[in-house]
Amino acid sequence: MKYLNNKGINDILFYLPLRIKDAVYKLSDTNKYSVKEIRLRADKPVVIVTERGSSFLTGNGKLSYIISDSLVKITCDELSETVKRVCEYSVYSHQEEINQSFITLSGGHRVGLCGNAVTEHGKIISVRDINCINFRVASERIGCANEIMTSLFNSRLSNVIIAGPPMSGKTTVLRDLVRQISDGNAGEYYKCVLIDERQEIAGTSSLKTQCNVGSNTDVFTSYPKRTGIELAVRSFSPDIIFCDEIASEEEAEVILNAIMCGVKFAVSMHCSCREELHRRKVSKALLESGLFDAAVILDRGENVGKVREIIRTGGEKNENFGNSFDCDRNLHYG
Amino acid sequence: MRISGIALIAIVICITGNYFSSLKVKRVKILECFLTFIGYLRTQIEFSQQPLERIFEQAVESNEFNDCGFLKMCLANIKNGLELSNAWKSSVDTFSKASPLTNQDCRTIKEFSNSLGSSDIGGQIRNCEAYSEILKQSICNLKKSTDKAVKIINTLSLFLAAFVIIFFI
Repeated sequence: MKYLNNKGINDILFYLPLRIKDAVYKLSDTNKYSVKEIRLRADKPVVIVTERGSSFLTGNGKLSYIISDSLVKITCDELSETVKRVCEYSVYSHQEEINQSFITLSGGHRVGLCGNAVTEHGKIISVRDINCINFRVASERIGCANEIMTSLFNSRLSNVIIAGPPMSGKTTVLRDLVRQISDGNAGEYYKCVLIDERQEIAGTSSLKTQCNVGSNTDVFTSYPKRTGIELAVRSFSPDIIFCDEIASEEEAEVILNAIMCGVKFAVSMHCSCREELHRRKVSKALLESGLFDAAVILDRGENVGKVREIIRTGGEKNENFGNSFDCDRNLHYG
Repeated sequence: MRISGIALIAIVICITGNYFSSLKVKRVKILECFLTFIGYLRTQIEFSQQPLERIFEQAVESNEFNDCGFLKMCLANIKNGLELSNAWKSSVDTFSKASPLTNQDCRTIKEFSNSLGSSDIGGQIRNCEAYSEILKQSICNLKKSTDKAVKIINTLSLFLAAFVIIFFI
């Protein structure tokens, strides 16, 4: 598996205040290129999240697991300046994203934001006094979807749900899956459409995709999933559509309708275990329809794309994975 | 020699008169260009919602706003990492040193950047509309006084030149 995270951390450094940038730059190469998140909170120590967990940044570029005076703290002014930089000094251009607590940077990196929400009739219309920023470094892991390709896309397309807890690599796996299928690894050059609502998968910027999503992929950037799927089916005759983070029953309904039109789907959703997959309304609706071939549950850990189990419809036992077991017959899959 | 000297003085007076009147005309032209730019900016913010840096890039590439030379300088400053408001003000200051803009003009143009990019679309549109009104008023007043002044300066310089010629010859 090829790991391409080097570019990611350098993209993020551009947005950091000078003082913090200098400290991050002093990190050892091993630490620097294993950074998954950089968390900034007003007047609090800077937190660096790596594969080994959360730690604090010191002024001399070391990672500390103890709170002390040598830690680098970000001031309120520096945090405000960082927010402005992240918004490209154009808040209006990212207003909708800010209201949803995230901005996607060029390169597919996601920046989480939170502060004081301004609401009207229960809906967030703006956020003021942003006091926490979380930079999530996007990484391309070429080959992380190999296991899924071998099991489910060997010379054919399947309808697949990719599920996992936060930080299990769902988006990274989905990205590699699009690339592989688009580039013909499933037997032929299938027409792929990617609904990249949060701009995290392809990281499109000024017409170009920052991440490799294959040679035969059409990318719908920032389209709401429901609208994007309908438009894609109408205008692009896709063989397979990829979507990230299916969370609502409306989205599930549109997906099922499109599947009945002959389009395959590979979608991701938050789910930490098989039982949760059965409990959640969205996943339950998708699986109980009988139209999905399998649900893949990813595991958290250092190896992105590590499959914990594959749940196939029809009650087939999966021989390849240690923790797999027979489908529960009470679920009435297809 | 005497006649040549007198003719030279007369020419210099005419040229000086023309120069001052052309400065006023140029000032009007710059302000009108900036007014057009505000309209362009408003449209881009409202319909494309692109970030300001990209809008500035497109404006500079289009060559429609060449009279507002500070736009190109501002873009260069932003690309060098300067914060937008500081980039804008610094470029206006640099541009104004070699332009006929008055201190009041520069103050108005610089103040426009205070709210630029820092609010939602509605706020940006209102900012553009407010400064459009201010500029329209300034340009209208300036044009009236400029037309008058240009006529007076041109007439005076011609008379002065003629007087010098008649008096000394």
